[in-house]
Amino acid sequence: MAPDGAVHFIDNVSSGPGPMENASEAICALFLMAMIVLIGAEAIARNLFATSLQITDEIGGYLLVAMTFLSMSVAEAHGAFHRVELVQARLGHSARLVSQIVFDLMSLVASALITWQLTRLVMNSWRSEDVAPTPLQTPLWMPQTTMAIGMFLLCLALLRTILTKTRRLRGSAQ
Amino acid sequence: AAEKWDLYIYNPVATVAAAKGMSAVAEQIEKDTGGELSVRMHLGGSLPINTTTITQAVSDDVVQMGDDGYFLGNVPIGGVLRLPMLIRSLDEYKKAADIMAPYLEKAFEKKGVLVLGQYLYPYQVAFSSKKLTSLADIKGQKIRVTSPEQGEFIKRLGGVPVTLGAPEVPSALDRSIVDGVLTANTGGGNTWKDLLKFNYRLGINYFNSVVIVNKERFNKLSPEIQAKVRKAVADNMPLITKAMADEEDNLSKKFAEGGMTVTEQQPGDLDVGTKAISAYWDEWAKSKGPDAAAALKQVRAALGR
Amino acid sequence: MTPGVELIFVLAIFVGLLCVGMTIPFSITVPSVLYLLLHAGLPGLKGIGLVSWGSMNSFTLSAIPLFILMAEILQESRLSLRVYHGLSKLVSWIPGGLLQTNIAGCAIFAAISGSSVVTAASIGRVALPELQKRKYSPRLSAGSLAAGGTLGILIPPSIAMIVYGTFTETSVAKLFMAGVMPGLLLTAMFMAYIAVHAWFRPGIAPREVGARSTRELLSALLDVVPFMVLIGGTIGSIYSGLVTPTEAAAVGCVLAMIIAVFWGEFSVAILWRALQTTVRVCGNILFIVYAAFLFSYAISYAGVGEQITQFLVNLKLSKLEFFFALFVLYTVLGCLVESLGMIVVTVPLLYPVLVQYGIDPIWFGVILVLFIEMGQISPPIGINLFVIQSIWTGKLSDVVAGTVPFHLIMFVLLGLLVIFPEIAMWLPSQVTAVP
Ligand code: NA
Ligand code: NA
Repeated sequence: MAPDGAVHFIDNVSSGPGPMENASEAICALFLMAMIVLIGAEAIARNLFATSLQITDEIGGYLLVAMTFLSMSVAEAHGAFHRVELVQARLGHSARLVSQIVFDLMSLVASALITWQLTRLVMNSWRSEDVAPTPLQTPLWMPQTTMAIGMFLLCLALLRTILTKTRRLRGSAQ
Repeated sequence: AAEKWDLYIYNPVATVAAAKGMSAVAEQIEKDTGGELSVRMHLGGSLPINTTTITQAVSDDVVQMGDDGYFLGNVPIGGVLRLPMLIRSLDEYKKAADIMAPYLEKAFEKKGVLVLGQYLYPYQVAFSSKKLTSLADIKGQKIRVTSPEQGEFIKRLGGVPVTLGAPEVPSALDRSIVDGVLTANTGGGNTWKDLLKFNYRLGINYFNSVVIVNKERFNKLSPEIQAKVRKAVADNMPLITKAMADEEDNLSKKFAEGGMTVTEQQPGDLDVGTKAISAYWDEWAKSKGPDAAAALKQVRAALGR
Repeated sequence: MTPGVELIFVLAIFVGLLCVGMTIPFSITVPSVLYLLLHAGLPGLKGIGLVSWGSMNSFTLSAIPLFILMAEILQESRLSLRVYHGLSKLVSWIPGGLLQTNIAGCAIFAAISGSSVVTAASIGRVALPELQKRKYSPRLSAGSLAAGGTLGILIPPSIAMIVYGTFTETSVAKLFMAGVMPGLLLTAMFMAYIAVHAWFRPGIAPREVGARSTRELLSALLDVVPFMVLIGGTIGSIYSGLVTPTEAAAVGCVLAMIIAVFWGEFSVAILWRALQTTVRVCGNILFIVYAAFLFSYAISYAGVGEQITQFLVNLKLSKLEFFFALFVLYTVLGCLVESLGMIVVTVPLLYPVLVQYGIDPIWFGVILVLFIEMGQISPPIGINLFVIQSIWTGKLSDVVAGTVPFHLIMFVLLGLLVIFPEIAMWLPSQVTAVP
């Protein structure tokens, strides 16, 4: 059974979480609780004290961005992404591993390209000193950095998955 | 070879004057250049790019041209023209805009972006589902604002400024999570009119939108084509401004006929509002750096305010 | 390559990668990146940064992780076990048993949530493990949840209607009202189908043992009370004007924790487990949402949707032909584009044409939402299919097959709405003197 409760018909080889993924997971959990506290505070401020924090939808958006990107590597390391198992279930052990390594390599290339673009976005925002048009005037590079970091960690997690699968493949070949 | 540009506008509605005008700009460019340069317009939201990042999209050549009304995060100095109660008439706006033009152009140019022109929405005014027939009625009402400057204004009048995304406004009005909004008739006023019962027509600020292009891409065009692009923008900007001003009065009539209580500005409220917010103008400019402070000083001197 | 050929090529790659077993979020991401590269080379990727930021920097989307956390708290505190134990006794006499609660649960939840994904994910997360444990037909379990989830945008509040209303300058309040009757009708038709199906093929649902004594009945009712409190409290917080629909998700989490303390088991360890699972599930679902945005960007960047619509506008058809063309257009687009993208790309071009054909914009809004619902459960890009796939233990092909009957029922409702527009228009027409 996979860690997210799903049962797979085929063996889902994953690297298992490392310290980076565990840290990301804890940060995401923290952000999730922060979201609840923030929204609760806004609701209380508005309904009991007739005032508004004026930051909830802004910070809420940033927290969601961070959660989206930082949770990707966590899901990858736990093997929580799902696949159509139609063809996979019909392949032999080695063929399945080889095909998955090829997929992971393609995913790695796409993720690396996205990481490059996200990094460029952060640098651009930093260089041109863009801020959010809100009372907080948050410099945009700060929340945007979580996207680049998350994507980069996903690349690392994919690399580890590929290594794990290659090792398995060698092990079964001997 | 023929050059192809993308134009991204913040407006999601194809039928409003601003969108029609930008579409006319695109058509004129294609026609005047004989297809040497074609411009494809994308409505707001049709690309998953925030309308507050159009400046960045043009700067980074993701799109080559933009109709950008939400640039204050990128070019904070532009906020001078939007300070609540600073500018009281179109004439005053023109004076102020002339002073601000070099500042704006310099700030955009730093990002590799050229300003080719701008058009102007009529006054943003207050709408509410609760009684709102004078500035004093703002007290205790929850008003949705679109900028921190408007938020400060509402706060100083004893109201509660609330920031909400546009998609959440209808249900928030419906369930009185907010009581009212600050917007122009041509815009939120028309979209949310069913949920609003009062309109108080004291102008709080104008809302301008700039037409921008990526500098590098623009400079690669031949001088003749550059001139034609500039002309297409220059030809259409006053038309958009005028169409919206005309529409504004018609809409006011339409709202009143639909049962909305439309109240003209009360004598004395202009001073009440100005007194509440004027101390904030300098505070604001100081927080935006020396250029903003200098620009505001010039504008205030010119307006005698 | 021409844009049409590019599109077919990239779609073939997507379907191919999906079928041979690349993980779902990547099988959407890889072709999106490839499409941008094909279309404009490396510079085509330049927009990815701003698109990523623009699509995911959304407070409205934060309802997704929060509602999933709510469901996880119910799960970890063993409350959902109790709720389903009680429900199974109460609905044992209805053909289809707990499958009926899938639809009813989605319909009730739809009154809280404006999004299909959130509805399918939240109810699915609570219901699927229980249904699988109790040996309900996996196809029908998954299919009813994927389809039931789409009620999220027909029954108000609805993000799709808000966007449509904004685009066409029609009253969102009236659109919401227009969605109520079709939403209830669709719910009733889904439930009737399950009942009839279960009547003729009892094998799809196990016979639940009903309450054998008054005491057992009371205890079953008591088991269901916490869920009622949760749903009632969350809906109440929205309709009393305390919170926005997005904020209600946080209220739901807090209520779930409070209820878990009183009715179930709750501790810091349980909360931590719930948070951990939520993060892993979100890593999956939010990635899929993000990938769908990337794909949608790639397609709109190439202007394919606009080309198709423009082509349709230029045909100058009769009203009936026009309807048929719309039907084909949206069925095809529904397969490809994420829901909001469908509105944004087509409505601005089609809206002026609607007026020429004398089509009521409110009515069309409801029709459009129904098309979007179908798109959300139609392969290859049916977001609800993937959402259900990401929270259950079975095969994607079973989810797809399971939604087919519900798809057909939606076509029936579509026909009914064309023949009897009053189904949608009656309620809004009752509201007079709107200022
Ligand atoms: Na809903
Ligand atoms: Na689909």
